[in-house]
Amino acid sequence: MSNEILDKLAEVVVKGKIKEAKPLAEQALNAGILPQTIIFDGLSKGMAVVGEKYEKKEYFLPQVLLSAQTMYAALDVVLPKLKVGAASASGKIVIGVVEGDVHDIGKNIVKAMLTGAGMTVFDMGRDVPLKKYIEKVQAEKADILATSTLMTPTLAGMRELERMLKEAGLKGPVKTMIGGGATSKEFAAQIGADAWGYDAIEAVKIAEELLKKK
Amino acid sequence: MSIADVQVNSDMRRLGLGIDTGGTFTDGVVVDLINHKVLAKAKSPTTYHDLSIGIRNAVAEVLRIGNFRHEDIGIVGISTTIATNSVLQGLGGRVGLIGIGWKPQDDWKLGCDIARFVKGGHDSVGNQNERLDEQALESAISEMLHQVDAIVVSSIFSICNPAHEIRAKEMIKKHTDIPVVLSHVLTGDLGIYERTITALLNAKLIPIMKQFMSSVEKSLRDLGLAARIMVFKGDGGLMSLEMAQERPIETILSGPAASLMGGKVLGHVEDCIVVDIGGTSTDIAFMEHGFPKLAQEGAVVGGWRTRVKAIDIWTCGLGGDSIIWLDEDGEICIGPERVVPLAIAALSNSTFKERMKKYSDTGFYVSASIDFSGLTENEQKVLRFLNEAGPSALFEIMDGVPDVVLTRDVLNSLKLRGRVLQTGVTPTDIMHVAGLYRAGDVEASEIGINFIAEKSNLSKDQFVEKALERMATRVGEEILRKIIFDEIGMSGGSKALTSVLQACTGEKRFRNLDLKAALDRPIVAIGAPAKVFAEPLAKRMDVKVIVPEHHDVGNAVGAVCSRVTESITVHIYPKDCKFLVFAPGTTPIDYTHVEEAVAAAKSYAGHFVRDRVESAGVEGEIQMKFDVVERRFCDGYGKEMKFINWIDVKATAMGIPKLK
Repeated sequence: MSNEILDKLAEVVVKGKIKEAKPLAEQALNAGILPQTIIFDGLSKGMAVVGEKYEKKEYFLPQVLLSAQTMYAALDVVLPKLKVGAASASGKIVIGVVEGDVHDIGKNIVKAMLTGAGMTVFDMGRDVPLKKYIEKVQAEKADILATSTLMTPTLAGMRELERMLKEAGLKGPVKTMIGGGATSKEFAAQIGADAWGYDAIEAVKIAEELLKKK
Repeated sequence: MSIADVQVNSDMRRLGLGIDTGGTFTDGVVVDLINHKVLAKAKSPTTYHDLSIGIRNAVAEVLRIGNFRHEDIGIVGISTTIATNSVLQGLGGRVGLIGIGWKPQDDWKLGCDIARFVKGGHDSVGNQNERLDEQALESAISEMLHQVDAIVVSSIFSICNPAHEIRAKEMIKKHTDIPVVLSHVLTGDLGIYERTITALLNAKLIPIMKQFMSSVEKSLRDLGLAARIMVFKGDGGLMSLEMAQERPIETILSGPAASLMGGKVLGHVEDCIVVDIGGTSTDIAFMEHGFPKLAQEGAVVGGWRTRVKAIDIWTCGLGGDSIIWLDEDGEICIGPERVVPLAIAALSNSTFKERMKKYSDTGFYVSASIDFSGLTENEQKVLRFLNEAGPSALFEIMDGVPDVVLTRDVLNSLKLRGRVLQTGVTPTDIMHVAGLYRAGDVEASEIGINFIAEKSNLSKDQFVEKALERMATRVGEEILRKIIFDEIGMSGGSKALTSVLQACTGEKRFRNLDLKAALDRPIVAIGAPAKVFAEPLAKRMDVKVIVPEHHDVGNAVGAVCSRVTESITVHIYPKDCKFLVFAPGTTPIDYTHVEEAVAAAKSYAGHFVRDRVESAGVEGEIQMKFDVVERRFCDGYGKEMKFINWIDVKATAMGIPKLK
């Protein structure tokens, strides 16, 4: 029974049937399935399939976004039931698009994938003043600061973030990862970011690697 | 006690007196500053309670030996461990801290006597974050005024804009004359915590250094020396006496730097690899244009992470007292564990050799301490036994202390804490048997080497030959490892890599392959066993090996033969299509064109270091060197960016210290 519901949930996510997500998640909870199980064996599995499809160019951004939103609809129901500590143990991530840039589609996908992988994600949104990131990282004692930008003029902000972390003595305790069209692996190395991700799928792997290093 | 060695005594007038306060001895050496020849050297025990006594004795002795006219000594260079030792022991004046625009994290240890934090500070591009809260500052000053010997002011991002630190200093100076240390003056690196620590340690050291320098100055003047006194820095350069009292922190970790500089001076080369081979370990460092390469990270002293530039040193457990052992394949390995050479152990005990034969063993236990504090009852019993019995085999200890059951565990625990050492076959023993060195009992070395040679199916002579070869191989291997590590950041590595590296040092490792590494600069080897360890590499690798004479006083030579140096890095950042230049001591200034920004940065940095070198007192032309590092990168679409991104302009000024 429980497997059936989980499979169904995964399918709903993959197909992006946003309206079915909430009732199905509630049904799963009522059936006594643990919130962790719902996230990891249902929603995450679905999101992983979405990732694969995206990688194979079978899915495009709109489908991925739809799936992500579907997952969020389910998460809205499941997350409040999650016992504190279960998910936060696996890592806290502050994510956002740097100041001056409003392109947040990619960031939202990364956020969805990270959440799906069981991490606690604090979404700062887009065009976020640099100071806010540092404040949030400190307030939440985050493990990772993930930022993205699609535009070259705002790249400087990423370097400023590195410098701000270093001045505050947070570089090291807090790992940084960057991504987005304007960035590159070389750029990440230049500014001293801990990692760079090509896409949302890589972002999850990288985040897991970074957390292991801590 | 003094060791005299006089070589030349001519009419030369440009003489320098080098002084090094080492762990055991204070060395005094008189060097001809033109050809860097050592004219006379003397040693005197280091007097920890008052270092200037040892200095005075060593100087008096070296002057007497060489029979120098006092007026011929034009300069005195001092390399001292006083700053390092004081930091390690937590000594120093009372210091107050004023933090601007930041608060310490929970786990930040500051080590100051009073700390107050006020509002203010700047952001990462030098804009004011918050107005400086002068009222709070004023009350913080009056609060700490009469309780401290110095005040440190440390403001967030002060290296981008020091305005608030400078303003705070002005306000403090209205009330008092005590030293005020600003965090941006000592380092241009980010990291409010490390910068604050650096400034705090510096402030604590000021009274100690002042007192030390004035007693040294007095001792030298009493001896009739009117020469200028320079102090050796941890980065290999010199600074004036006045500067040393202002920035004493820069003398920390100057010991290894002086040793490297000494090797370079005595080897008469500017670009080289200095290898310092001691009893326990070998230090390797690279010299560029006569100065040691500096490490990326700041020096760590007594658990304090500072932002003081330290030399990039590669240390490995390889030396005269490293243990020689066989691995599972019967390969001869050296180190990293340090043991007591058999030749030395036999000196203190007449029955040692017989008992070695009786037990067919070389791993005897020797007490290294009469300190029983912090030990368990069993550990105390074993250590007491060893103190009385001298070198003892495991079975003898078991018999001697029968009520301790787990003898081996107790011994290991004592060994870990350095209270007990083991004996063993070492390079020192190999050198004894090969007739290359004589300090202990050759027979004891022979007995031990016979055991281990038998195990590896070699005759004694064959084993000695192989061990000598392996000693040189290990030195070469570590040099190659350092080079590879610096380039690609790899450490450790597989057995295959080790074999390849060892083959590159000229050891025959592969039947069908000859490898021979070529190094772009000579090796200068110093330290007691340097000749034996390093000289063979000259024949085996494509490299020149220099083993200079007088390396026993290398530190003192390095201290007086260096130059006055200062360096600083000015950063240029792009901002809104303009270029911001962060110059020392001023607020950032923006430029429209990158060329203008670079020119301005060079000008600022150049003037800054030139002024500092000039004020230290130099003669002749000041050498200037600029390094401009541009950081461009490809964006995500693979095209080169149109603008240059971040530029670091590093200026270094060097001058020859003025005599007298």
